[in-house]
Amino acid sequence: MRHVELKVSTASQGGHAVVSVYGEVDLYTAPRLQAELASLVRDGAGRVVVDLSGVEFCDSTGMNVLLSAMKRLREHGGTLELAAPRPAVRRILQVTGLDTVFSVHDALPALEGT
Amino acid sequence: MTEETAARPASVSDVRDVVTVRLPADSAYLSVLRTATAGLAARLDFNLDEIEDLRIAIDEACAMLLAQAVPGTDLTCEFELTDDAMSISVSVLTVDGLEPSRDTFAWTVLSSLAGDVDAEVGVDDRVTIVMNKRRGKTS
Repeated sequence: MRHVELKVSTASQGGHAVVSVYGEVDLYTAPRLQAELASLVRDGAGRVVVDLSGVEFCDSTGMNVLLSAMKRLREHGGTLELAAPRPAVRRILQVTGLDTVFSVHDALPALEGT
Repeated sequence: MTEETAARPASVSDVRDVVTVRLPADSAYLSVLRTATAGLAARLDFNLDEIEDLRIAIDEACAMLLAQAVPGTDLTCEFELTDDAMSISVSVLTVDGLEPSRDTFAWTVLSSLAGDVDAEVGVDDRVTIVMNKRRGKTS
């Protein structure tokens, strides 16, 4: 069971951070995403965009990770936005009502200064 | 799995199968159980949206139970497949014998996606979540 089911990487550009997530976000893998977002919060990140185009599955554990990261970023004047969710992720956003809480982009937005 | 459909006899409406999956009560196995659930739902000709809903629902139910499971024990998942519905019962031995809180995103998701959902506490503090998902109209 050592198969890696989630990969998370961050690219910083023009003061913004894009977090790319690949794989399945559940109770087992969510800590990896949480750690990445927590380090961005610690570093005082401003605008964070989470690229969900590679996410095949996300449950409420994943939603809670994204939600708490957004709250902590906002405390310091930052933002967290979601980009390019697949239908499975759109479904959970809709069912939890979080589609009206998060700013959700259909595609990864072009970053300033690029 | 769809190719089996053509080969099935006319008495397909008599189908009633019970499948039991037992796994360590460890979140590392959630993805395995999601895959098994999707496979069983496909056998019943659930459509893709319904299969996705069941995948999420089983995950949420198990994640809730894993939070209170006795370490080192098993999670038991019983699927009862009938003609047009799947009844799923997931249970673990828990440390506290409490029903899962219904005031969480997890329960909201589960009850929205799984049709009828209920939870009960049995002997030895075994907590069970039962859900019953009916198949919608298929072409």
